[in-house]
Amino acid sequence: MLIVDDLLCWWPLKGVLWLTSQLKDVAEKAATDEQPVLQAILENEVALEDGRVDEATYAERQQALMGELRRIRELRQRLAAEAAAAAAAAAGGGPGAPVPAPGQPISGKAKLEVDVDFEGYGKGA
Amino acid sequence: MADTDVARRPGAAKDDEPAAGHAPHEGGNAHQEGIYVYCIIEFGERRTFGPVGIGTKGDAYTINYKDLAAVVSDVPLVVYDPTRENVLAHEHVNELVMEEFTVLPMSFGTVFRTREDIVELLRSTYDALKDVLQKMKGKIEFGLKVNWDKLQVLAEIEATSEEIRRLKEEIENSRSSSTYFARMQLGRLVDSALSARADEYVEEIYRALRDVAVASRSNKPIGENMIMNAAFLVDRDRADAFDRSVNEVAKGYEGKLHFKYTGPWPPYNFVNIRLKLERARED
Repeated sequence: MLIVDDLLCWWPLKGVLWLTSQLKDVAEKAATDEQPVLQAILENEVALEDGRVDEATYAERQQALMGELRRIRELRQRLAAEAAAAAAAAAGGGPGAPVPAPGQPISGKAKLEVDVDFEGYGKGA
Repeated sequence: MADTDVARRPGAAKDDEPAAGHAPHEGGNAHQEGIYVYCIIEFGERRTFGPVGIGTKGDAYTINYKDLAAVVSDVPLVVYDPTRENVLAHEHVNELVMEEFTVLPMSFGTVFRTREDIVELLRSTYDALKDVLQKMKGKIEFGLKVNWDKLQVLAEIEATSEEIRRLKEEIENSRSSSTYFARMQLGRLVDSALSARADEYVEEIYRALRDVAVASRSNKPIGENMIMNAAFLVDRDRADAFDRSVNEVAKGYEGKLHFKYTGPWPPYNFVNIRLKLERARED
């Protein structure tokens, strides 16, 4: 946070607040991205199938990865709840429907948006 | 045909065994009951699918609304980790249902608190569900993962590229320590030769399957020996033709590429399902 501290001396406060909120967004995005963990889970599965890791190593890694996934999803859930509450407060009513974090039990009215995409073929698709 | 290890699963974990790696999520409450949804089908009657599903003791069964049905099972209300056992159990139910029905697969880990919530879901999304199920009729998915032996390919590349061989010799024979740039250059050359070779293979495989597939998706390869991780959407009545083509292609690369071919699956990669909660509101 050295840079932020330095800037603090002469930046208008508004700018600093903007910057910190941007930095917070970036940090949250990285901390709530579950794709790398999901990819690591798949890689662990494939490593076991291919015999590159033994059962014990596989189980140990899986346990660590599941823990990490839970941590990310709990954080996402919390941030989503905060954001929804903030949006509701700002709009003074019940705005857009929140998307439940994966794996969370669903209660109350839920809606599905479904569509199929049968287009696209080849390397880029 | 599916190489999914599903057969290995039959109720393996006994209740009294401490099941490592798939313990219920601490966040949930194991004493409450929930309902796990596997897929949605077009079916106007109630029926059961036998004792299959995620950690269940009962049968998988349908919850109906008009001529739609959700295939579900009763489960403890906890968060389900995507462990191998859980994911295979989820997939196994869908495979089973798919033998008789067009299946709209739900995402892994979708658990509702009450039966009424599920009926409401079917009711409120009825038209869209009917439409999507209609479009999906007769469409199935196959997975194709292709691995190579990176070291073997590397050796081939080194044997055929004059420039790479020259650089290697230069580095090996150099007495000075200033091989840094030569090594950098070598690394870059090798990397781009490898990815060019992979691209070539992948394009050839896609080309060979073009006529027997409706569409495809390319997913991120898993692990460093995988060059292709694709899903193909295929018309059910052309499944045999697709099968033959895959086997032909695989034969053509024998000794070079290793093909992992799975399916048929419900079209997981070609359906988008987004679940949205409506704001809790009494109206």
